[in-house]
Amino acid sequence: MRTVEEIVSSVFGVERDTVDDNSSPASVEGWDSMGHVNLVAALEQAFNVSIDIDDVMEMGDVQKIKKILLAYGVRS
Amino acid sequence: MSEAPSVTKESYAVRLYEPELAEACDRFSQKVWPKSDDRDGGGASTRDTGAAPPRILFLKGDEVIGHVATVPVRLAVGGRLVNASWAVGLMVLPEHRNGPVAPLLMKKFNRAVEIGLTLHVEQSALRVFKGVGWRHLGVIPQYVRVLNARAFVTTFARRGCEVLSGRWSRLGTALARVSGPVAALVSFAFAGLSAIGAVRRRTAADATVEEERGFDTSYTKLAERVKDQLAVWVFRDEPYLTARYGRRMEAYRLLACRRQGQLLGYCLVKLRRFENDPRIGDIRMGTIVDCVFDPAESGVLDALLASAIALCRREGIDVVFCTASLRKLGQRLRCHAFVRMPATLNVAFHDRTGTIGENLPLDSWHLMRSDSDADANC
Repeated sequence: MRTVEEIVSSVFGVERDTVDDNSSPASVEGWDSMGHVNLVAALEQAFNVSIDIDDVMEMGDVQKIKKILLAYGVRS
Repeated sequence: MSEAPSVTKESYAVRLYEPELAEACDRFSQKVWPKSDDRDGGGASTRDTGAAPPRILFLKGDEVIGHVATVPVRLAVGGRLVNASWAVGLMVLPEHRNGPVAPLLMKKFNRAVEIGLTLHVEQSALRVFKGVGWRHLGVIPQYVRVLNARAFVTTFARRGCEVLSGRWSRLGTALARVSGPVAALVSFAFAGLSAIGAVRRRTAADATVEEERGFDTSYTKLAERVKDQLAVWVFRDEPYLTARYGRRMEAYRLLACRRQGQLLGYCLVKLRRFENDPRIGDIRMGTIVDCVFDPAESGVLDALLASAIALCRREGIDVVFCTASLRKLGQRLRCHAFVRMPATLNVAFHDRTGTIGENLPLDSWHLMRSDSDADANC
């Protein structure tokens, strides 16, 4: 199973080792409004989940994404 | 696919407008369009019910934080009429603009509307439209005809000094100093272009162009006659034109070309005097916002354009603009000494029905400023 960091790296085309728990739209180039939607779609596909819109809105950084995914039964 | 209840406290939703949301919509409109008389962002009234066109709202709790409206039109595609909608008033509250609000609104729009169209200037909007599957056709060419070279040169030289920096600012300053001779050169250049173009202009035998005040059934007949001669265009019959311009007709001048009563073509010109505008300063501007003509009637378009320029001269207009995608219209504009200039109006569409060919070039579409709400600021 891929990690959230790997998916962020793949969606935004950045080096894997530059992505950590603090990575967010402020630090990752391309993580804008459209990029966020693409990231959510990639997470849904990778982990076979359907993410609620409330959670989509709260995915402010990698750490929050992991916490939210945990509630969907995804340990990433 | 597993689902889980939201783990966060905020409650968000993307919803179609319903009357119970009218007050929240009004609050949103007051925030984002505080000076506008029409706070609907070009869409249907917030108080409309029943068969009102869809408006899509992004809600945070009871508050609207994002909005896009639809303006339904009938699109003539190769002569066949299909329902389509302009996407207008795509707006997100500033504090939510870095989030996924706009793309999620447009995804809902894609599901609500079979054929969507948009005209817009913002690159950020273009990225969203393309991101949710819209096809970007390009930028509609814009043309300018200078009637008062002195006003044109002094205005743009002064504005250049104020808004440009570095060597461009110095160029503006230099231009302002020699605005008299430069204006004379510009005037000479446009007179030359006009003289050259006059050789290629055609006349419409026995046809006359006169100003009219409103629309009648002859406008529908013209639309029916020409609908299959243009690849893609918004079908402009009498009901459409009345709905589009009727309430605001005082802002436009309608020139109609007729032969023995039969309407051969028409154009609408918007005249406006800008005062201390941050972009263009003090200038009297005319814009040919709409133009429909029978391509088979040689000379009609030339007669209309000549009349539009003459009208602008009579009204003391300094500069005339026209934004037009259709190749034939661009060619005739050049015969009337219009010069192509940098443009910003992007066109994109989304077609779930497959009616519109993917490979139709922009210059086969007939799009102008009057389409969507793109003439609001001209």
